[in-house]
Amino acid sequence: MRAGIWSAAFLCSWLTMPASQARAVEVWQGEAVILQASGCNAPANDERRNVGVGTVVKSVLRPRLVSDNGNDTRVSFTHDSGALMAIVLPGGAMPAATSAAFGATHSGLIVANRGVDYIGFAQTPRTITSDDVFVRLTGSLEDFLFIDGCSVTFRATYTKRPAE
Amino acid sequence: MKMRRLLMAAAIVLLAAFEAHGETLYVGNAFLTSVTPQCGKTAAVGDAYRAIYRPAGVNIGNGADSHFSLTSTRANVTMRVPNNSFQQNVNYVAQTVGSSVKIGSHAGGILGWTESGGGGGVNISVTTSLAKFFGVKSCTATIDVYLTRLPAS
Repeated sequence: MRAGIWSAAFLCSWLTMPASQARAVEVWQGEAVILQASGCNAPANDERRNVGVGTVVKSVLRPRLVSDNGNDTRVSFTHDSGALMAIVLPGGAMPAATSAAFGATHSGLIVANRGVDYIGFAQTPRTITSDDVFVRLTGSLEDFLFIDGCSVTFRATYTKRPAE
Repeated sequence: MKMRRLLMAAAIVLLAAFEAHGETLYVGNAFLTSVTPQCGKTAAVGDAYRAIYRPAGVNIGNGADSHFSLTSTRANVTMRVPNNSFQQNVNYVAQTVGSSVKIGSHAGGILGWTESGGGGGVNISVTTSLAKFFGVKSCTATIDVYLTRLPAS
């Protein structure tokens, strides 16, 4: 009975919701600069895997609890259009926890749900809302871009991506 | 005679070890040349990706599975054909990370795969038609890509 009341209430509120309140995923897109790197040296003849201080990667930030973004914060890093690593921060936990990482290596291999530790994560503003245009994220994480033993510290700036 | 056999055996072991550690990768620019309307905003004619092709082959260091990965500036779809090569009427499994960090996995069909220059060549051209592109139902994309082999590392 209680479930029925809740369902009816939810349906009513949904039906009466103005179109302007239609929700969607909202993301911020930017660039991340590597400030520190260790264990990231590429093998000989494989410069495209090289990650070092000054490397810049494209990044997308999907902060938690903004519109339909869900309860977890997600961040993706794309290196040289050759490898992509997306990390899911459980409950948006900061500054440190173990993320679930997904993506593809520089060899074109699939990686799914690999645990990747991160520390020192901090976003500005601390609570991101739909009204924020410019946001920042800094932090350190291991096995960057699925390069085993590659630890990096980055600083990223993002601009809100316009609704499509 | 005995020494010659020993040297040959050592050479074979060395060669096998070298091949086991290496891998053979091809890289190229992939253009979408046609898409079905169902692709919506996910894919459009003219979209470009960096493609990484890792054809199957134990003898080239790549193992039994084939991989084909497409990365744009902010999204990736990587397809894998288990224990087979990319070819027409074979299914692939894939993982996607979308431009809004939407993560998913799916399976789809390879409706066409025309490849020339493969089998150890330096350059490979591929025209392929892939169903359920980026995991979108009824989205079929046709792709032209000219790949070149990366140096052995």
